[in-house]
Amino acid sequence: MLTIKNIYLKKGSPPKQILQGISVCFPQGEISLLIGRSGAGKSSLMRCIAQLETTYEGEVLFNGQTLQGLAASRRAQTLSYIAQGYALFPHLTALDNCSQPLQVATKMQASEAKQKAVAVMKSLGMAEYVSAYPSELSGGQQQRIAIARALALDPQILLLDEPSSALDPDNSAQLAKILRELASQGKTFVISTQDMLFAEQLQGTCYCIDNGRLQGNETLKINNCNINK
Amino acid sequence: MDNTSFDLILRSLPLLLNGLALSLQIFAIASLLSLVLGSIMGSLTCRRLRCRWISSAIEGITFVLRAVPVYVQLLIAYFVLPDLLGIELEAFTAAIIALSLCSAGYTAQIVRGGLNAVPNEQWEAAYTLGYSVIDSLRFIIFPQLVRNILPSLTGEFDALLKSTAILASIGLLELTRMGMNIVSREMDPLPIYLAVAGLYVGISAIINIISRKLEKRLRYVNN
Repeated sequence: MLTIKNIYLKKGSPPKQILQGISVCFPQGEISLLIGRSGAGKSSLMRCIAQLETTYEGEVLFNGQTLQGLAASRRAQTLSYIAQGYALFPHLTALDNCSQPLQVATKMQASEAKQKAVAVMKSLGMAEYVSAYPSELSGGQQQRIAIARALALDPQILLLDEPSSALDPDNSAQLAKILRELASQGKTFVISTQDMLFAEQLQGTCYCIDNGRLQGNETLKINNCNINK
Repeated sequence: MDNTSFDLILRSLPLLLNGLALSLQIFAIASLLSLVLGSIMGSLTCRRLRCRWISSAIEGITFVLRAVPVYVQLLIAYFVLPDLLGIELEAFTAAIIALSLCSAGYTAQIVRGGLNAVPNEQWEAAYTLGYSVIDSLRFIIFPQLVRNILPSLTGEFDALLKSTAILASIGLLELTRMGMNIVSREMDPLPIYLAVAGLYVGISAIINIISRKLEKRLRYVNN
């Protein structure tokens, strides 16, 4: 269980309160959706959970253990974050993008890492693109490589920031299907999105964020969530 | 130019090539030192790796290295430094110190700019995938940096090669000085100085060809 306790975040100059005391529990093996308007604080909350923001107040706990100060390799195997623009490494092939983190973070042998990376890429239908560079792939393919790269490390939680923002409806639906399958295998997903159709396809639990606050104390079902609130 | 001029060039060529060899030797050592020093100083002053006092101190040093003309730095290294430190410094060593430090000031700026141009998302992706700062630099950032800065770095090394001509002023028999010596003996400056200029152009062309080939190899696409 991923638990967020009283997260406050100030950013900018002069400092502006971005997150105002968010507390929430994301259940294991489920898809949790952070829904809200642009600037509501979804991405900032994701960045706090991924430990990319260093100045937030509050706690991020996984199974009762804090993520702050966790060793890099341990953190990467607990939680993986996929940014909105995917942030694939442009100088590495798709296969190296997926296998190099295994070698660097978990000190896995190169051959074993490549084998594992190929297997993950295959499971996402990307086996034929092993030697392609990110610039040679479409947005949807890049998205899947980014997911494969994160999955290769076998993290327990995956954070995806606006994963459908650059995808057409077909690719969005395909991505939703892949994520549902992975969740059914026990992976925990926290996904931020303002794409309501994509959110509906994911069939996850919906949490509305507005003005840096979680709206309501209870889990809201997708149909009850009004992002214009 | 008539036949005697070509004859003079041919006769002087072994001496000019000797001078060129010394120029290249100094250029190679100075550019290597400039690259190492510049990379360290540039890395420590980039946005992502700034440490308050160290970065400010390095920025001050690189500013001075860029502000003082390379000729003045050479005179300081050859005439002032030995007195100041109470040591003997050969012209060759003084030349290396002056050229590499001056060039390192510019290389640091190029590296700093190149590192700042690598998107922040790349650093963050490396971080979330469990890379340490050193691993991030080694596997993710520097390979992208090389591509970003290659053209500017080539320009800097071109300038460094041409700067070796001022070493004539401290008596080093590099290419320009060798040309001057031949001219004072033969009293025919045109062919000799044209040959000297031609040799600089040749070396510069080789540097640029290597740089272009490297740029092509770093295109991140399959051919």
